[in-house]
Amino acid sequence: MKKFIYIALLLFLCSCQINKRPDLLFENKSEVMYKIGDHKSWSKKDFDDKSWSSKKMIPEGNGLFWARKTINILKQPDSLELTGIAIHAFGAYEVFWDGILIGKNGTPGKEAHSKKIGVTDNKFHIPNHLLKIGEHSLALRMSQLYEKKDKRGIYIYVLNYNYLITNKLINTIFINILAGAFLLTSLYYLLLFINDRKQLGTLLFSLTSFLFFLLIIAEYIKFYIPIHYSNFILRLKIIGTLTLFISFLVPYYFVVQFSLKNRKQFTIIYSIILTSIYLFYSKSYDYTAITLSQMMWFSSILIISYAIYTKRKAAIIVLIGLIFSFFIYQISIYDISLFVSFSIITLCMFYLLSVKLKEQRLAFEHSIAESTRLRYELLKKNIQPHFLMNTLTSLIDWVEESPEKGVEFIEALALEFDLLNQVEDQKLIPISQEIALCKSHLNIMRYRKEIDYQWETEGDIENELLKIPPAIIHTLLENGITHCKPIENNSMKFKLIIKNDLKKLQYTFLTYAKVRNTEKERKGGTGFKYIKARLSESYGNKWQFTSEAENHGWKNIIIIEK
Amino acid sequence: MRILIIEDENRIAKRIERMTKDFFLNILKNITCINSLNEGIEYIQNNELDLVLLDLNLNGENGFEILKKSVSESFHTIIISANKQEALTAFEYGVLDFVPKPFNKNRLEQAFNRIVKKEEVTTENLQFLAIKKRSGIQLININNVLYIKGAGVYTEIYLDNGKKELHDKSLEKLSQLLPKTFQRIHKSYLVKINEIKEIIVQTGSKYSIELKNKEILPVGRTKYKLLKEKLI
Repeated sequence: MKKFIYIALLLFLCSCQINKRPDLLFENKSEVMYKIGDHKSWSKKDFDDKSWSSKKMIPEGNGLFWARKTINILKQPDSLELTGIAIHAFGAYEVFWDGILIGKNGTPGKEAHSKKIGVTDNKFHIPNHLLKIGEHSLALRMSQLYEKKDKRGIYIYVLNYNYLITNKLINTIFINILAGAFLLTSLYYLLLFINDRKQLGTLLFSLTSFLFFLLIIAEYIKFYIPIHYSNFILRLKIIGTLTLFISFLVPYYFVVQFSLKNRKQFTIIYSIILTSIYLFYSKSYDYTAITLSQMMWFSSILIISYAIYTKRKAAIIVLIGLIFSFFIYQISIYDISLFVSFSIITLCMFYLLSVKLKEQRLAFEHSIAESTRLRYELLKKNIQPHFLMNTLTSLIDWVEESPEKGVEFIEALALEFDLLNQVEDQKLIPISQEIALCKSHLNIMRYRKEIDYQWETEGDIENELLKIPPAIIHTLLENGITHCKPIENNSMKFKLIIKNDLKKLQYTFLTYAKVRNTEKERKGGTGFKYIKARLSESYGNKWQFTSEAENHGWKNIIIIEK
Repeated sequence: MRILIIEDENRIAKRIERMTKDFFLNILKNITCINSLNEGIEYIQNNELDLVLLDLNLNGENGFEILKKSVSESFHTIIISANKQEALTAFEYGVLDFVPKPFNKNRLEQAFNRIVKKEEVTTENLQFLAIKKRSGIQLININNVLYIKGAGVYTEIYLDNGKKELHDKSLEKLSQLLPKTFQRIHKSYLVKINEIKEIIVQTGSKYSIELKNKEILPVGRTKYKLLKEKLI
């Protein structure tokens, strides 16, 4: 529920229009006319520019050209208010209103010798006495030394001057708050990733947030930092590239977070699609950005739908968020919709990350509880009444019959307890220690059952690097003793074979005896559960365990993949 | 005495055997040791016995099935086990005693004395009587039992639903197991005291009782006094 409140709040903030746009003061019907050359009279109000071209033509080098436009003022502005004209144009120019110079943007004709002065979007004040109702002429004396290929036209608005100056700044305030939030998020998750390098999700999220931050800054920087027209295209290219990366990262993030298969194929195919779009539409910057973000949205929807199909947690909420973001995108203008819908997508990512973190925390807590349980189970092996009381009864009997044997028995028991204490808090122990544990257990059982137990090993048992979770073979040995009868000469043999190669480590444990209940399958008793839980604790799912009756008795195989 | 020991620990089995021999001496007819569940059940089915000494945990298998089987037979069962927490269940099903491991000679002889001296079991834990049926062992809650009638080596158990069941244990043996709410009123009758409505005294010092369900049972002359004391 909280998430929806956040989303609603964000939308509310974005939809606030604090200063209302005042009425347009002019009729914007006439075309802008161009002519190469330079003449004083071209600035005059009643100059006839009908023979001029409506297509923009740019002379070589520092060469001058003129642009003229007729502006029809429909309503006399309030005499106490300032009125301004906003001009978006590439080039350096002087502005003539009815033949009177009212402003200057750079140094037309002298650009090669001066620094890059002037901005792409400029505003000029028009004196109130020049704003009578009726037709007026706007003439620009221009030169365009840079970006000659860009034939973009000239865009003109006549509006309240204060509004022209402050309007975009107010939007910028909110958008910069958003940018700050993205920056902090990015840093926070970067630090989280540095502390836990395994979490690819946090890194992707941090990276996406950072790119968002950059995208917002790049998009809105034009409102508060003057950009010379020669740098304007660079900014658009930066925006395009940022959008390209974001469009890749967002769906990729979903693929990673939902742990979908075929991650590699997705990466290759999707990057090829994105790059081709990017290259194909490289000339029209806004269109590239829109197409890329649509691709991002579309592929994210596909991935999440698949995640819902495969019943991944939280996928439905993310899908709702994405569809919602698409609505916002459809109903509002580009500059706002881009950020609102991106913000919603980020929120979805945020939510997914928090769900993942919770899952990981639970898994971690579970693993701790599981380890404690296994440790307890290991300790219990030798104090559970069946083992302890039977051992003590036998011990009493030995002491009564032969005190010397009784002492030996006590020593064997002491050794077993000692060995168990040594391994009690370990998750993995050297195989030699495990073998010692088994041998000491057999020693005790010899006194109790009076059966000739034999032990054999094959393989590299002295290798300290060969490890095994504690009491696993011990448990198999206990099972063997319990479920098998000795052969004719009252003996029972156990054999441990260790095979170690580059790919896997294999322990084969054989019991040579008669199986008591051949018809009854021995399925996962508590012993097997202990073994499986121990293997999972140390090796995740990279292990196999099989146990079955054989001609000679019983065969257990544990394989640990490397 | 014909005794069977079911115990999977060789050393312990030998210990029980030695102590049993020492106790019963010349009244011991034969003694057998078996170390597995299935063999034990088979032996019980095919041999006449007077006492079974049973370990409940045999080669990792729960001896509960053999316990039910064992208590339904004519002989007494004594459990010798490491799991003290199973003692209550064992008594509920009608074992004569539960000897926890590790045990010494005195404790085992204490259990044997219950058979020889016909001492009553002090615990009041018996809950069920295990009855052999064709379909297997059926457990009867002793709350449903009205009275028990001796019929030679068997007994007939009369229930509150009007049915009658046969039990393989003699009246002697059952009276050793049943709680004090059951009173011997005659050499052939064992009655639950709170089922008695009244004592009827007839001419010629003949006594009988009427049960709440209007059945009339005879009371032995020697038992009359004891019964009267208990009822008052």
